[in-house]
Amino acid sequence: MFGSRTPTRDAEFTAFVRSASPSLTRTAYLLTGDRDLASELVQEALVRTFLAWPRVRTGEGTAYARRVLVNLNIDRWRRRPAVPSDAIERADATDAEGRFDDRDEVVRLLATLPPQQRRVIVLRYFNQLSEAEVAEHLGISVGSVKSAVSRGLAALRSHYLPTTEGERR
Amino acid sequence: MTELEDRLSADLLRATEVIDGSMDPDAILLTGRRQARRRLVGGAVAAVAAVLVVGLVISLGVRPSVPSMPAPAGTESAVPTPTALPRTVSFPLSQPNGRVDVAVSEDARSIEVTLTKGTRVELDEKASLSGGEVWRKRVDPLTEVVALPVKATWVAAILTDGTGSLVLGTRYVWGNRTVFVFEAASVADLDRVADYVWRDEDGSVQATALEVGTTQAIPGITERSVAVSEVGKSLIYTDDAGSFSVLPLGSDTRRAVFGRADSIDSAGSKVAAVFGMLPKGVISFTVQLAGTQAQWGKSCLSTSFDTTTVRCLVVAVGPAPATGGHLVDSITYTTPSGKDVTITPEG
Repeated sequence: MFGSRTPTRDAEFTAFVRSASPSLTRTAYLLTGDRDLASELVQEALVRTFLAWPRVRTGEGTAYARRVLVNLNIDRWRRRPAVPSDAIERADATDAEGRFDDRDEVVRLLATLPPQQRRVIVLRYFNQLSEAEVAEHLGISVGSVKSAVSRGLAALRSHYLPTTEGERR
Repeated sequence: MTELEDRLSADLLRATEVIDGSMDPDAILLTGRRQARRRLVGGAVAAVAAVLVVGLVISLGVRPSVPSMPAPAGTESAVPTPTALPRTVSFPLSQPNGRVDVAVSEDARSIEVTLTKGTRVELDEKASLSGGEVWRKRVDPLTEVVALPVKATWVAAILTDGTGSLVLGTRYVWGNRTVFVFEAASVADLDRVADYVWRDEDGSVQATALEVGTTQAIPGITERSVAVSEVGKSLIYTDDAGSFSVLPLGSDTRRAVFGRADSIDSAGSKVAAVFGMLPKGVISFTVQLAGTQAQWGKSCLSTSFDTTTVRCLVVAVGPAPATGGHLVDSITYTTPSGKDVTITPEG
């Protein structure tokens, strides 16, 4: 309830959640490769955004929540248990009927990248942030972003276009 | 962008287009409020520890409670604003020569209560205060000392039958901790106190085990709040003038429970409020108001993101309808089993 500011605050925040949560969840999915985990991260990011709402609501709610989300995922990554590398390779490679889902190919490719490169690639090419904005989100220099983009694209290129340049696999 | 970058962007979009990603704002708000409340309590404890430095004794009178439902507006007791913060405060009792002295340690982690009648000390007890919890001590058959972990602007006792009673006695606000002495008119009255509910300085209604409720404000009319006391199994409706009503919830969580409260706003107009709680698990509902000037709000409470535990509070406020009229025409909801139900709340 939190007093007289609550009705306005709640209405604003409710509208924000409705508008921002799909994009945040998709970003989280690309960062984690796991829909359930993505949902959990977004929920936590939105709760933290709510707590900071009076400071962030002036048009930058989505950027704030996305920064929180990325940081939560970094924390999760730091705390993650060891997973056999072949388990990552096999994860979600096929659907329930054993077919290869082409739509998820890029998600699997992202999973092969080092975490920092994956974050940079997602923020740069899914969220369409500039290199400077990516740097601000991750708290790194623009030079580091450029370097991560370059290495990430190089790694993806070898998988993405493995044979003939310009020809999709 | 290069061709690879273009394809990467397109594929990232394509990979996520099947993900809905919608979140339930109510669940987020609920969790956020809980965390905010925990922060508030943590901050209160820290603040109390920081400010309990300078001593000043202020004596405060306490009067017996007056059962009332709803309580008339304007009965809120005055909160003294000390110029300095004492470590010990003395509460005179209505019993001849009786008084309760309460001391809180500088770190706000312990409390000492002394009951004195005449020159005889009848009780001297020390206890630990934990961060966000309410501390209660019955010092004699008629008297209870309560320490709240917040700065309360009014306090009410919730009785075991689900009704309420405004605590008319003065309280002492000690930084962000409130200490008051509840002196009942009879032993039976004190035996019936199941819970205390209070309103903190930012308007939030709280209780010993309270789910935060909903708030509805209409321009020109005082703000209304509904909260639920799980200890007292009651709904507590309040406005910011201090009037309140308590509605017993009963034990059947499959039932909708609604009540009505009337009050007078600051302009002297009659205001009606219909407030209540929908059955457990009901998250889909519509409220049809009778008048265009009325407004309604909701807050859905849950112990988790699991919708089966959700209970939604509803409050509608507006000018009091004519005799026999309704503020709310109907509330239609779908039960967890898929059955559509329409009710017309009383009032």
